[in-house]
Amino acid sequence: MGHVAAGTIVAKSYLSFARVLARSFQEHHPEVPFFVLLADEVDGWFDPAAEPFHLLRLSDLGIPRLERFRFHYTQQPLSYAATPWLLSHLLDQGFDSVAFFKQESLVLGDHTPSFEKLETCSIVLTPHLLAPVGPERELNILLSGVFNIGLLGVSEKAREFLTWWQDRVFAHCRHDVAKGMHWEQRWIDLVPALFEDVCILRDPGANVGHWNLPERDSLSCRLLRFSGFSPDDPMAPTKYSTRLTMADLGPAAALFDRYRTLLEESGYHETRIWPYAYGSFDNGVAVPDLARRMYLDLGEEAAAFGDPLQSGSPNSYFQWLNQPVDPSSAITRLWQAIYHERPDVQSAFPDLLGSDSEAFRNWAAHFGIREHGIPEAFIP
Amino acid sequence: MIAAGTVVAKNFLSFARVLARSFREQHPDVPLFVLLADEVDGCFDPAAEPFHLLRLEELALPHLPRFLSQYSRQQTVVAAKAWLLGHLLDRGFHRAVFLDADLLILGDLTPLLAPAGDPAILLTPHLLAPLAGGDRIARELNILQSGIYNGGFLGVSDSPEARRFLAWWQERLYSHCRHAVAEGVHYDQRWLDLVPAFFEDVGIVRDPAFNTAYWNLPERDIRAARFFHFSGFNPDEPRVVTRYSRRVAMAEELAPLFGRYVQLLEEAGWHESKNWPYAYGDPRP
Repeated sequence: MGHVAAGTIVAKSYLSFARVLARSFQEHHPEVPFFVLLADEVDGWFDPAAEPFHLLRLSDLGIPRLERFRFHYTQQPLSYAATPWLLSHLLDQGFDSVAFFKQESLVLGDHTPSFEKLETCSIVLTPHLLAPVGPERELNILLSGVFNIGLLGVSEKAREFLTWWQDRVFAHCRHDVAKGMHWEQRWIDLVPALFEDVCILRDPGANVGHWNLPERDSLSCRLLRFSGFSPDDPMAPTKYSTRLTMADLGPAAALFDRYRTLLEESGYHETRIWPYAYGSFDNGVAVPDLARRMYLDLGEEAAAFGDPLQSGSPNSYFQWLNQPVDPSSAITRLWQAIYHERPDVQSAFPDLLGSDSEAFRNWAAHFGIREHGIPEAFIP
Repeated sequence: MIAAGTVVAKNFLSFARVLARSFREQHPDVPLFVLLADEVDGCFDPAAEPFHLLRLEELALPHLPRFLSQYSRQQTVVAAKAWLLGHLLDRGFHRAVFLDADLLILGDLTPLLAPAGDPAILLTPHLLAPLAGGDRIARELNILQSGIYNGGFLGVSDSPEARRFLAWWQERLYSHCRHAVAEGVHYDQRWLDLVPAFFEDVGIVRDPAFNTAYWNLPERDIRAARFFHFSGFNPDEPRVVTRYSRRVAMAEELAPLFGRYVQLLEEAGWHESKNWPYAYGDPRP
């Protein structure tokens, strides 16, 4: 089956997930190297040499405009958007084929059938569903993507696909289902149309998760996905759907319990509070979600700020957010953007830059910062 | 034995005539059926038409009045194709293709009528390669909103897998042939995104000769097109390529084909038939 590798991507607060996944993969494929891309910085929180995997950094992957890319998204979406760069990097390292597993997964069997398919296929995809299950659940899949990116295989023939996917998720790894986006995943619906030699693995054991339970046989599957499961809420199979309870899962419930134990033994409680390195500006102020969206909306103009996390320079993005929208006003760009998102606030303060300016700023300082999660450093 | 079919209400009868004649030029031995999602009501003589006319009552479409009452004319026309294909298989044809009424056949369709490997289900994607240019992402997102595979062409074989597909699609289209992009529905079409996952033996036609239309222009070479899909084209606005997009202008290389299509429609009675009323009313004209 050639020279193969496997990998996943996490921020360090999800390190326990990567440890469990890597160990479970190695049980079935001790000869296949497992790589973990850290979509974060180590910052002394753990010792990469002591981990049960090979650690890769974002800076190892040749991602163009990396300082901008990592500012586009919050922690989890950044780990999703980095997927095509991890895969192309491993192909660059000389592996003939690479299997990607999403972080919250447990390998329960031998994935040789997927690796063997990659001897002839460019891309191996696993659908969420393999048979009709009723319109409501099918529509949910149509909004989130026909194929599940919990498992994705690529061979050297996938280069054109990876280049395309990198271009699309650089700035469009977003959750906006009405516009056709569901993170990195809905883009993959186009893949069987756009690329040659795409293989759809219609194997009920290849990739099992809440979306195809309880129909699938979780005891004989090769990969169980714990999408939306938290050890802190162990009775809920997933936060994304209330359709299933643990009682509905039958024998799979024991696997959820086992997964929780494995995470806890792998340092879940210690690691889950480790800070995300790209969650704050270098002055310690947390990056508001809206500031990331505003940055994405700037497009190429954003290049002028340099690294957007660096706040020191007068030309920094941080300073730009805090600058007044016009010289005679005390309303900053960030607060004007919040104002534009709030029709109710617009009704209360119709003359933002004039007579209502002071009252709006008073609202911002007392209510707006809490309602929008804005740090005090942005109080106008 | 192979059959082709389309669906129209009678205001689009001229489109069906043009399709039927252009199809017959290429495939004189393949019968083309036109399902009328409407009533004749004396407006035309079915025996004089260049196709075999089918009525909705001839299909295995359950509770027909209920089906008709919930849909507009356009929704009824779109949804009925799933039953038309089932009907053609029931008549004993071993393969059947659906062709949208606004198609013009320009070349040999043998790779679609008798595809290599005899796949149970045959689909034509809107796009066959990554797009380039400043609007590449917007255009691909547009396809993600409306569906990867175009509902203007579909092929099936008389196989258990195709029968399972048609039974499922009919069930979905009976009540979910709507336009609600934020809910994952785009008439008949987004349901097709699930087909390569749900069914075995699905053929995806990656030949740029088939299903050239505004969504894959200017990438496609229209001189190589074996059928052109005039989706969203109105012969009364002959300078507008499609009402669905302002992106594609009536360029020099498109104008002769569109001009020819307008002429064919007019010769086929466009001006007479376009005002024929829809027999089942239309809550949303």
